[in-house]
Amino acid sequence: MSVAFTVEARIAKVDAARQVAYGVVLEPRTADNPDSQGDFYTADDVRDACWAFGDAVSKAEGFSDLMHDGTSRIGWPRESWIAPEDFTLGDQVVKAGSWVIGMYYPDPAIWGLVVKGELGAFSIGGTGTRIYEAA
Amino acid sequence: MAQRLTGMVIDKVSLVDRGANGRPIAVLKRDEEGSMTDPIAQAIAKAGPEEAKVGVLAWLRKALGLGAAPVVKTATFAEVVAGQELSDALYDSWYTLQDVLWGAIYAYDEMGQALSIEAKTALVAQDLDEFKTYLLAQMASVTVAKGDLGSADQRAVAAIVRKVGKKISGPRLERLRAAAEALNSVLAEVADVVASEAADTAEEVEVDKAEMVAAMTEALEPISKRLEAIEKAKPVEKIEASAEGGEEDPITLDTVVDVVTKLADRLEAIENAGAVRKSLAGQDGGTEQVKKSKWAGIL
Repeated sequence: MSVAFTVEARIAKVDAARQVAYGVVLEPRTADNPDSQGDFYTADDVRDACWAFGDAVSKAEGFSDLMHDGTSRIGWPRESWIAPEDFTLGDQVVKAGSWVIGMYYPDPAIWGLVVKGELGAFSIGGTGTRIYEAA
Repeated sequence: MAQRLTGMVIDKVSLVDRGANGRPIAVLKRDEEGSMTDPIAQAIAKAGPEEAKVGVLAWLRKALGLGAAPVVKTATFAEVVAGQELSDALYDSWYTLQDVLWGAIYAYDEMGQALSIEAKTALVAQDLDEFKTYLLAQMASVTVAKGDLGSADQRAVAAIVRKVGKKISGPRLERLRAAAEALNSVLAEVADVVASEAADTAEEVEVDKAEMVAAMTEALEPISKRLEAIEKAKPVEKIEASAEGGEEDPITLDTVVDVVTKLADRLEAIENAGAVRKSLAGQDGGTEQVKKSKWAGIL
């Protein structure tokens, strides 16, 4: 079954000098610890999503717009990687296998709002396939 | 049975003003079966299986009291633009609604405790009400704008009516006058052509010879009088006007031209012989030539 999803990922850390905002897009979950909608995704699923995003970036489709306006291109990813082990990003504990993204926002005005926390999250939309597995 | 989400592809990244109420990561999903498993999400999506078959938008239509999706046929530019504007408004507001619903579903109080389901439900209801108000206002504005345009004929008439009574600027008035004069000139030329054609048609009518002679005589009477006056003043060699051709010959344009030409030759011969006066007083309207002595004006 095709599923559309939106990830609300809080910006966990900002690199003020480089104007890069970091957030965790997805972290792997198990069937015993699903998300709020009962879905889980393995480390492989998260990695596949991360790589698929890399493919989109290679096609110039990885821009970030502002407040879902659909037209602006205010930023783009400078980092997108899978956490090799548990670590702390800002005040957030990141589990191994999580997909971390670092978005670069060059506009000083936009970046100022990010630093102030007024623009404090990534809203990431996508699609996936839900499959049902025996517990 | 566990639900696994796999094959995930990201197609949209947006920088937004807030996260899911302080949660580091929050994932909201929807599918065609409306299987949101969150209790509040389930409460929101409690719209019955028939609505779930056609997704969240269909449920929204029912929630907003819009009924079944109308069959829309967009034919004109204005209608297409209006539809696009409404679609954009729906698209943008949909994401905003999604954000605020998400915030309401996971709302926390000042102590960091999750709100009661009643409080969350109230927040969700308020958000939906406000969304409904906004969307209906957008639809109303688009509808009004479209209605204002009217049909093509109505728009044309309206354009003319808008121009009526407006003051015409000087340059534009001059251009209009010039255009009117040009048009009148063209009309005059056309009238001449029409008259000429009518005359040509008349020449093709059979004309009696006696009538033609009488008409010619009448027309040439002034010239004949002029000739007689000159001949009386100073006799000249009489130029006999000999009519060529028999009386029974048919009258043609060549005959008329020949007669007039001979009369003109006769007049010229008389005038050349006298060389005093070119015309009778009052007949040519010209200035009479007067010979003056070279001492005139001195003596």
